[in-house]
Order: sequence, then structure tokens, then C-alpha cells
Amino acid sequence: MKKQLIIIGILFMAAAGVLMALNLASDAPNKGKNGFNRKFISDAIVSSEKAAYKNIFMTICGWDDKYIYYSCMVPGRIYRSGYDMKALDTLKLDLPEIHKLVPLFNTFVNYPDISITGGNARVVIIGDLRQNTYKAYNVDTLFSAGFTSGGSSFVMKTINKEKFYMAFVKYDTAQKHVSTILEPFGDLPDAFFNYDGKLIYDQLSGKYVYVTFYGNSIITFDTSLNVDYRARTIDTINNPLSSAAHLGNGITHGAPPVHVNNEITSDGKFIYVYANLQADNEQDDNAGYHIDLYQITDGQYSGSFYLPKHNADPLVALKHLKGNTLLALHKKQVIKYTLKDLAALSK
Amino acid sequence: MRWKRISIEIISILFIVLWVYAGLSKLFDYQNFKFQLGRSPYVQHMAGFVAVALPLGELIIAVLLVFTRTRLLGLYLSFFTMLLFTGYIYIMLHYSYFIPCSCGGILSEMGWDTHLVFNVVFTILALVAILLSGKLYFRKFLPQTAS
Repeated sequence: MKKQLIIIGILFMAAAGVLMALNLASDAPNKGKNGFNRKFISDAIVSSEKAAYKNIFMTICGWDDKYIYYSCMVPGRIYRSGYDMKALDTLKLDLPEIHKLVPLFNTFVNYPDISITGGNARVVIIGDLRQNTYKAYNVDTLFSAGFTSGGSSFVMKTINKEKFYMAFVKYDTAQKHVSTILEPFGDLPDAFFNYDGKLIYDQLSGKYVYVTFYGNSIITFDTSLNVDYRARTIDTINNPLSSAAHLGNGITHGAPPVHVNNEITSDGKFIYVYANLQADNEQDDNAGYHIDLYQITDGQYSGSFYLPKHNADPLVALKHLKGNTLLALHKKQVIKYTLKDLAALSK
Repeated sequence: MRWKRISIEIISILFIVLWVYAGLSKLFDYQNFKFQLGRSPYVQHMAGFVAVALPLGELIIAVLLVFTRTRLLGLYLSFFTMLLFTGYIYIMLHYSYFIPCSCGGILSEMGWDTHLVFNVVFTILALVAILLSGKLYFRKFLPQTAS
């Protein structure tokens, strides 16, 4: 028995040694210097408040002066909470039955208007939350994300199917017509994958903002898809840390992609980027989630602050609400932060 | 103790089925398995080697478990391999910056959390079988010592 326990102990340590060696040999980000510094904004967070309800949401899909709206994995259901973060109302939507709407859909609420775009289903649903009426429009182009700037037009992120490069299109649901195309990265093949990123619509400035996940590109454009400017996030990753592989009819990552930027939000003055890479002037990689601010007018970097980490409950979504309120959706909880007035940083 | 012998044999049969199924399904779908390994943050640089060595290793362990003389060695190797797999899934779930899927056959239908539970159960089964075995069957593989 003693010899067996010794052998079991040796095997345990050998397995741990192998796993540690694999971890050390991996290309995880933040193992070495990344070649840039952050400028920290002191005392950026004034206060924080945890919601009384748990996170059962997919994302924060809208806000107005009175309510915050959340979407979940069921397209026909959204949740609404007041800014006191205590009670949660469920709004059931009488949506038409749409095949393949789940799981790839985006909900956008600008009360009382609501739009739901379904990339796999190739459908856009426009509705009125007060009347609980909805109309579905088939879209004859493949897309992965779409936002309305009002009316029946949507700006969508789509793909040139023959050459796999990325395009943003302005699609009119009533006319069933693509009116404008923007190819932000030219005809780079596989750009749909390697330059994948987060597209948001900033209601206050009327701009669309796009930040790439695997590189340091920021692009803003107006509702007519005229590029406003191109800028870079402060990290030094110019070429995407990702590669695409073509498999049969599909395309997927050919190597583990490294997220440089994770999530973005905006407040009409700044773009807030939840960034992954650690700056060289940071010592503690567990100090918090890096939030980098960029002027929405020209993409210039303005400063950074940390959002606190919460016991291995990862941050999944961010939304800037009215005033100086920033809402953070973690996997299990929702936290509302009040920021100090950052107007002095804006131009 | 008859119940000990039966328990060890049942656990061994379970592992034989597991290793044969996992090994053959990886070999039959070699290109896809190698591709999926290339997407793992921890083994991407050794994908070619692991894609061959791992399924062959699983089949060798299955053979060792078949014969009584080598069964305990097979159980030790099963325990070590399950420790590696369980630890790998744990670090993928908690520390990895990207989570692909590189499983074999029916196991690819499991989510990562379910897979972790499955692996923990089989690791414990291997440990139980080793502890029930009571004596070393492979004395011929170790230096002879005075008893």
C-alpha cells in the first residue's frame, strides 16, 4: 500500500509538472512587456452598487432616462430595471416565429422602438414595445451584427462570400436594398475573421464605432457609412493576433486568437474600450479590468482606469448610461458604477 | 477478496472501452483532431506530435489493461493520463485565453464542464482500482529488493 501511494504521489507531481510546463510554454498575452504605457485617471470611480438581481442576461440592449433594458438568450423576452437596480420587469414580446433566430441575434432598444437583427436567420425585426407589435423583414445578405440609426435602415457587418473580406453595408429593410458599402480593410482576405470586432452605435454623437478584437484598429463612420477617422488603440499590436482556416463550407480560427480588445461602449464624448493587454507601467496583472478612454471626435487616447475584478466572475459586457453611469455585466452579477466627471479630458 | 477482483475488472473494462473509443475516433478523424489541437493555447506548437502520440498511447494503455500481468501498469497509466486530461480541462476553463474543442467522438457532445466531471469520475475510478489491487503485478519491471 505504501509503495502504491508513493507511485500515485509521483504520478500526481509528474502530471502537475507537465501541465505547468504547458502553461509556461503557451503564448498567453501579458507574459512579457507589450511595449506601451497607460496614463491612469485618479479616482475615476466615485461609487459602485451591485444589482439586487442576478445576471440572467445576454447583454445590455438599451437605456433611457428611467430604465435599463437587458436582452437574454430568448429573443422574445427582454428585462427592464430602474436605475435603483432593485426590481426587474419581464417584457414578453409577441414576436413572429423565426427559424434559426437563436443564438445569433442582437437586440437594440430605443424606447419605444426595438429592433432585433438575426444573422443566421437573415432577418430584421422592427417593433414597438408600447404596442407590442413587430414586423419581420428578410434580409438577402449574410451579416453578423446590425444596428439601426432610426427608421427602416440598418448598418450591418457582413462578408464578401467569395473572398471572405469584411464589409459594412447600409441595408434598407423596406426597399430590400443595400444602398452603401464600406470595406474598412480593403480587400484583405479573411478580414472578416482576423479583423473581427465590436460595432456599436453612439446615439449621442450619431456615429458608428468599430474596434477590432485582435488588433488595435478603431474606425468611426456616420450613418451614410462615410468614414470619420481611423485611429489606433494604445497597444502596439498592428497585425491581428489571429489566423483564419477554411474548412469545407465554413471558416474558423486556425490558431488560438489573442483578444487585444474585448468590449466597447461610448457616451457621446469618449469611447470606452475594455482592453486585455497589460501596459509596461503596470505591475499587478490582477489590479482590475483595463478600461481605456479615447476621444470619440478623433480617437485620441485620453487615459485609463480599472474596473474592479470580482472573485473570478468575468466581465462580459459594458454600457455607458445617462450621466456618469457605467454598467458592468459580469457572468453572475450586474454592477453600476458612478464615474467622476471626465469632461475635463474631452476636447 | 472476490469483490475487489470484480471491481478491478469492471473498472478495467470501462477504461478499455474508453481508451479504444477515444483512440480510434481520434485516429479515424486525424486531420480534424490535429487541426483542433492546433487551436489549443497549450498544445498548439506540438499539435502534430500529440495528434499521433495521444491516440496511440490510449490504444497501448487499452492493451495493457487487457492482460492480468500488465493490468496494474495500465491502471497507473490510466490514472496518470486522466490526471493530465482533468488538469488540462481545468486550466482551459479557468486560465485559458481561448477555448476550442478537441475531443473524440461522443465526448465532443459534452460541454467543457460536463467533460471535467466525467474526467474526475474516471480519475477516481482509476485510483480506486489501483488501491484495491493490493499488490504490484509488475514486479518484473522493477528492481528486485529483499523483502
